Amino acid sequence: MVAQWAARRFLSHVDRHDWLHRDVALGAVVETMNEIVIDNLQKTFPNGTRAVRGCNLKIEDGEFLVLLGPSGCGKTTTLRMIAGLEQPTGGRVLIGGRDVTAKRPGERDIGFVFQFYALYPHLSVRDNILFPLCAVGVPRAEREASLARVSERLAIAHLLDRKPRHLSGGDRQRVALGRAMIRKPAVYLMDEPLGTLDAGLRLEMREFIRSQQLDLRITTVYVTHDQEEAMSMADRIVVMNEGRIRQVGTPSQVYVQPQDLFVANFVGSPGMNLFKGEIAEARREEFHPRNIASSLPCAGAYPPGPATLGIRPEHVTVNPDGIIAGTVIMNEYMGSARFVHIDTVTGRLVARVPPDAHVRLGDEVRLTCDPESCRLFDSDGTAMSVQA
Amino acid sequence: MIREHPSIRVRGLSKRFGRIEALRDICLSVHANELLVVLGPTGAGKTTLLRTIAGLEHSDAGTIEIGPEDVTHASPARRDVSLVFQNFSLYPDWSVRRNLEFPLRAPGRRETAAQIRERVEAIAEMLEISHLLARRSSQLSGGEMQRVAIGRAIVRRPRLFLMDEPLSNLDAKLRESLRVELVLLRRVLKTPMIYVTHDQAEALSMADRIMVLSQGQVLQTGTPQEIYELPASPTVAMQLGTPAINVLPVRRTRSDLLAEDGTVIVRDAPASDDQCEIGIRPENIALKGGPSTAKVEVVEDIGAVKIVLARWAGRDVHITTSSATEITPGDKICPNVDVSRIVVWKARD
Repeated sequence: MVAQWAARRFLSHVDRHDWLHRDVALGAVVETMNEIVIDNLQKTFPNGTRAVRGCNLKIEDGEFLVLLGPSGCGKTTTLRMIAGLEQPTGGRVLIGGRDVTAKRPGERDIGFVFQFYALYPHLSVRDNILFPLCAVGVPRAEREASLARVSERLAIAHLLDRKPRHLSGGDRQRVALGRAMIRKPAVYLMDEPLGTLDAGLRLEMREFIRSQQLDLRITTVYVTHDQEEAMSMADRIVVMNEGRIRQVGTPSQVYVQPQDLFVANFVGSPGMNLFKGEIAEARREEFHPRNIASSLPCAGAYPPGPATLGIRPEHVTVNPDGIIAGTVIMNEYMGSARFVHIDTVTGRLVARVPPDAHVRLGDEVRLTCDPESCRLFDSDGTAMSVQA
Repeated sequence: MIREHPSIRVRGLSKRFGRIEALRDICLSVHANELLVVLGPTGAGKTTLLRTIAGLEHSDAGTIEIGPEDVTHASPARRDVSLVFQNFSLYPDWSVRRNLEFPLRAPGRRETAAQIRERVEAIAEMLEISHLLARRSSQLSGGEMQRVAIGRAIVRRPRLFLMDEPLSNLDAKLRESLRVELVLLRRVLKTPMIYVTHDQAEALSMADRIMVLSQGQVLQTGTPQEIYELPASPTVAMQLGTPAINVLPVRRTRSDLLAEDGTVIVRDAPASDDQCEIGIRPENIALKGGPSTAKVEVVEDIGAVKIVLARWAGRDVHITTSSATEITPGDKICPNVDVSRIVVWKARD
């Protein structure tokens, strides 16, 4: 480890921005490991706001990690502390084993992509994209190769000689993204880079960023409030709320096995249906929803006491034999599916049904829940596991 | 309590800004108890359309009627419509209560102090912001601010609501719950609404009817299901659905449809021209049983479903499948298209 970064520091005198290439040349001598460790990271702003309240996380080399949470959860502050744009009030940041907590942003070899871009209006698309490489003196042939790679990927090769003002909004965003991604820094940090784009373009850019990252395997930390973006792009998702990490896991772990009620509701569109009730001492394999006489079978035995049952909309079925009765108050057609919102005595539930299902506004329906897909939470909101 | 609300009718509306034709011959009608969503990308003319209906822009041609009344040349106040913008536009130093009272205190209104109080409190309760009435609006979160802005729009019971991407500045999660609330709220108020957005999920889920706008022109108007299942053109089809519909140029050989490279896409296809373009929604392709093979490139598990990106007939094709399906990049599949659900268009020149 020590030898590794000693070598790297030597190299950084030669050419900071060329590590990846030189690593290949030096083979086993220098192996770039750009994992990021945050150790009990904290940030309290001068006005007393505790934005980040002690976060621990290890981001593996080459990983695409998404920080997901609502506004004000501390995700952007965490990212800015990794970048060095914000000084932590406690804890450490390590990049590639090196403590960078006290280092300036320029000393961390980071590519930062913001939500709002600015292009140089007097430069052509080509010069805008190449700007970050010209600034550090990358050889011409290499610059051209990088430009070809990026502009082909973004389908802007035919626009290279134009000025930004002659481009559509979408093309401008592509150019900005190209400029951000032409360098190969140790780490990419992205703060909602797609937030202001139209929905269609957002989907396209999402695939671009992800495929680019898969090709180059550059460690990436990506911040978003959009759970679908997180699910589709991430190797792992970190769900944050109120300055704390609530869960770390692969998209499917976070979706299928949320560790608490916050994650259950935040992940998924719409989120998990949650309804309160209890598990009786005598019959631990059943959940009794509030205000309903009958009970729902569970996949195993759970500790008795007040509990909350969580179930995804796709595991709720409209079924004449269901024990939960309710009225359809909204029938959302989404093209490939329909979300039926139902008011029941135990709260409002959403069921995902096929688009051609015969359900209409005002219908009285009955519902069943797939026991295998239910998740149970205790009175503190923490997920419970099946007892042996 | 609830007034009879007239319908809105717009005919032949056109508007230029210098050399740019922002709106071209727009015709639309909104029925008395209907939510019309205007869907289109940035620059389609959506906001100009709303501003023209509100009276903030003057049209170059065409008429606007609200009920029996022609309001084409009427002042904004005379039109009695409410406009909600993307950026909340509240008075930051005023309390929530004062912001909500403001439209009722406008010159020419005759509500008494007691009536105003009652009306504001009823609206606050409906929007679940009663506990915020005394707070300054600069101290609210984004979601709370937009609730207040919506409250301010509905408190004076206008003849028509105009909403210009009211949810797009909010967190994705909040947007999802507010869109449900907004639909339920409008149903109670029974006031027609024109809602502008570029978000296809919002359009599908909220609209009674959708009008697709592109470059100042109406491309298609219909119910969400009509537009999703029978889009008039590939441009319309691409606006709705995520991932986007797969569009392939094909030629016909007997009853088969072949891609440009000769791959058989569909057998026993419905009648069509010899050369045409077809649209296939990602959810209408099964992974096996088809007439040709494709290679899986990327698999995204987004929870409720998996999105598969496959290389088929020399093109990238999106397929959605159940999240329980075992599939990994590199797998060979035989895409099997549901023939009854393909959309056929004339070949583009």
